[in-house]
Order: sequence, then C-alpha cells, then structure tokens
Amino acid sequence: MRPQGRGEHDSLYFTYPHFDPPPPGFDRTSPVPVAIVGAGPVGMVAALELARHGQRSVLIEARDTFNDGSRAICLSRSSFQILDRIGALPPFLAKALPWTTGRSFFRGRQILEFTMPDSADERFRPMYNLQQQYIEQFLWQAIEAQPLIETRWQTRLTGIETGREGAVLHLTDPSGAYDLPARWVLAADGARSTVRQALGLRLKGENFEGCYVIADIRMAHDYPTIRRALFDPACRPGGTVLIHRQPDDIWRIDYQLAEGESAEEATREDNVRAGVQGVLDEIGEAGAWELEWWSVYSANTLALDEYRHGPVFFIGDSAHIVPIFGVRGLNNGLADAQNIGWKLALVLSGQAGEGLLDSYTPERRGATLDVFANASKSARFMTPPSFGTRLMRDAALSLALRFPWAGELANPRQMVPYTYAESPLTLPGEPGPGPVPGALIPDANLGDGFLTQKMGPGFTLLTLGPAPEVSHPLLTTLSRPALWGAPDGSAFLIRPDLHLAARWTSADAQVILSTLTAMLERP
Amino acid sequence: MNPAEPLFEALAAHLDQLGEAQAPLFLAKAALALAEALGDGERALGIFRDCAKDI
Repeated sequence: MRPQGRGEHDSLYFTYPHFDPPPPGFDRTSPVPVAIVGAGPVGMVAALELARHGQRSVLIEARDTFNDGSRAICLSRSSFQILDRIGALPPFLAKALPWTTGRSFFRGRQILEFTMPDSADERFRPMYNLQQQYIEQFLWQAIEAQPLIETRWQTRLTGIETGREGAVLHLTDPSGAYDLPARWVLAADGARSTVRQALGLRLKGENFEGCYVIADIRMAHDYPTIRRALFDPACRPGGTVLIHRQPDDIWRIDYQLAEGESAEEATREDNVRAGVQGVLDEIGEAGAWELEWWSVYSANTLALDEYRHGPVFFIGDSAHIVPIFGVRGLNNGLADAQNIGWKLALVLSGQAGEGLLDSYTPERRGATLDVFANASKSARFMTPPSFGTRLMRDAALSLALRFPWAGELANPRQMVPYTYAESPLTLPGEPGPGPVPGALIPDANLGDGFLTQKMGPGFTLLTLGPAPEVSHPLLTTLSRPALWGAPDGSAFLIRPDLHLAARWTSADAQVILSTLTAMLERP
Repeated sequence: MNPAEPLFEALAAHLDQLGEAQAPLFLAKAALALAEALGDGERALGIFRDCAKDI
C-alpha cells in the first residue's frame, strides 16, 4: 500500500518499468521445453540457471511490471553465490548494503550484539540488504541479455493439465486465450500460486500468532547497516519492532500489532504514520521522513508434502511459506530455483536421466523443514504463541539485562545453507577436515581469486595434490596444494550448485567417474 | 545451540501444561530446588537478588 494520492507503483525512489504483452500474431502455441509460471526473483533465477546450462525456457507473468514494494530485503551470502553463478552479480554488489551485525534491545537497553561469521576467506558478506524491486530489476537485466529466455508479460494462467509427457498450460493475454504445451513446468507463482490451486494441492503447517505491519520510509540517516530488534519498547508495549537499513535512504520498520488490534485498522495510513513515528521517537530519531510503502504479514510455516506433481515442480513460496525471522523466504526460494534449474537442464540435454529430478523434493523440502525448525524457534521468541513461552521469553529478556547468556536467547537464527546429507545424490564419506558430503562448500581466498570463482560450470573435481586422469564432459578438474586442513591427496566432487556430492581421502579416477556416472544416470 | 535453549523450552512446556494459576507455585518450587542443587547458598542468594531487579 502507498500513501493517499499515489498509485500502486508510485515510488519515491524507484521507477517501475512497463512491459507489453506478446504482440498479436506472435507464435504463442509452439511447445516449449520449460514453462516457468511467475517472473518474480525465483522464476527469473530458475530461467537464468537453465540458460546457464544452455536450456531454453519461457517465463509467464500476469503482471506488467515488477512486484510492488520492497518485500524481501535480505539476501544471504549463499544467494550471492547463486547470483554469481548465473552471471547477475555485478549490480547486486554495487547496490546492496552488506551487514554482519545485529543488536537487540529490551525496554530501550541493549541486551545483545551478535556478529555473523565472516572472514577474509569469504568473497561475500553474510547478508545484504536490497529492496525486492531492485532484485527483480537486476535479474531482469540479466534476462534481457539472455536469448534463451522468452518472457510473456500480461499473460495469466487460467488452468493446467498434466500428463506423463508434460503439461498444457491454459493461458490468456490481451490478444486472447491459448494453450501452451510444455515438457516441464516450474511453478514460481508465489504464496497464492495459481498452479498449486489449479492442481488442487494445499500447503500444510501452522500459523503463528502475531501480525506485523512492515513499513518503508525515506529518511536521511547515517546509522550503519545493523539490524535492530526492539523487544517490549515503550512505543509497542509487549511487542517487537525490527529495523533494517536499505539503499537509497530507505528504512524498513516492522512492528508487531497489539493483541486485539486488527490488521485492517493497523494498515490505515494515519495509523501506519503514527506507528512509524512511535518507533522513531523510541530510537531518538527526530528528523523528517516520508512514507514510501507498507504492508502486513503474519508468520507461517506451511509447505507442500511433495514439491513435484508429475511434470510440475514447485519452487519458492508456491512450495513453502516460512516466517521472515531469520530471512529465509526468498533465499530459500533462490536455492530451490538453482537446484531444479541445473538438474532439469541436464535432463533436457540428455546428459542425465530423469531420476536425477527425484532428488529435488528430498533436498529442497528437507531444507524447508530445517528452516521451519529454526525459524519456528525465532518466531516463537518474537511472537510467543502461549502463556508459557511468553513468560519464559519475558524472563529471558529481563535476565539478559544482567546475564549475557540470556541475551543469546534473543539471537535470531540466521540463514545457514542446508546440508543435503540424506539426499540420494550424496555419497556418505569418511569424517575429516573440510565440508561434509551434502554441504555447500566453504569459500577460500586462494590469493589469485576465490575458490568458488574457479569452479567449473557443471561438476568440479577438486583434488589436494596431483589430479587423477578423469575425463567427463560435465567435469572440470581443479588441483590445489592444500585446503580446509584436509589430508594431502583428498578429492572432492562438487555439484553445479556448489554442494559437495562426495569426498575421498585419496583420488581414484575410476571411483570418481563411477560416482558421477551413477548420480547422472539415475533412470 | 545455546545451552540455555532446551531449559527455556522445557520450562515453557511445563508452564503451558500447568497453566497460569499454577505457574507461580511451580516456579517457586523449581527455583528452590535448583538453588539447593547448586550447593552454594551464597551464590543462590546473589542470583535471587539479581533476578529481583529489572522487573
């Protein structure tokens, strides 16, 4: 929502583009290998990942511009790795605000300052703040430069039929209705997914108590990019407030509604202005500010039981909705997009069997359940759902004024990439220094660049010491003298998404090749 | 994981199970039993004094 007198896309600082629908006479009905429903960040990353591996896709989008408002604003280090892999990184690095620190306050007094892990071995910082419309704009710039991606704006999905050999999408645009046959479909159409509804599928899980107003304001200020959480502030007795800095002097303020306060009342412009002013008074900000945009949300942990339905794969919010605490919603969605993107590309090119796709749900739903476990705890602390939790939360906050260990209970669980330990693609290995099988590999500063910059486009075999003679069209070999404290002679097979598929203490060419072949030739 | 976290969760679960009316008696019993188990009366009294602040 925006202030009275301003349109839905009338931003103080961002110019929303307008995209035309496909012109009349355009070939709209020829079959496509992959149709991606939804051209938000998740759909665009999926298209770019497919294109990176040489595969064509069509993006279907009902709107004529980007999503309204700043929405998701926190991108994790692992998401920056994804953006780098798909070739979209430079504008993100130039615009986003990196941060490592968070501060929590209880009744105006600081009870915790946490710092997320960071080191000179990391190419990217743990977290970056950037408004979603910029995320979409920068991804769109990469898509415009990519001839393998076709985008159909102002094109709405009205139905879908699925079968063994693919799907038929019923679409409509200003020129009329038509059917589009697609071998595979990626449903990236968000929390209210039309694809999910059309297939009669439902998200399952729980809703948390507590509703938040999120408001963006423009305010010139030099407070560093540090996430602030205010518990039980004078402006919101018993509630919680979150404050994030974004580029362009935009500040995100989230404040919890009081018990009995209706979302409808709370989102009236005069009430939002009063709510924001209360927060600014609380933190001692007396300067001028302008209201940019606001919305409302409640914390949920909801997911599909199965992320695949025949030829359709659900990615991002269409598959799962997670609480924002811990910033996992968009980041998790981007990892979904990358995961299914490289797998689908290898299947389409005939370099892998369709069995490879069976690993998508266990890997990515596993990641969602892991997020639920962590984000649920954060959500329970932020918005206690019961008498017992509330009393303990208040006790912990009060104790935190004197005992630092209690302040740690207010430490939000930040995004940590999920380890695919149970994946059918992961080969359990002997324990030892370095990443465990299934984990996202840690980066390393090699002096002549970072490790992740030296990964091949497909799989990479990293050996410590002399590399064995292994030849496979999808494999890049890389040899380093030492890394991660792992024994000399160790070998690491790294997937296109930089997760470790297998590790050995000595590199045997035949074993490595048969492992890679078994992974790809899943029927 | 913060070692206090499972204790936080366990106490919250007990409080939810017993309900608001029984909570003070439960917490008083838990505090007394834990103080005795600490085996250091002076330290326990110091913790009580600290916990009485910032309320």
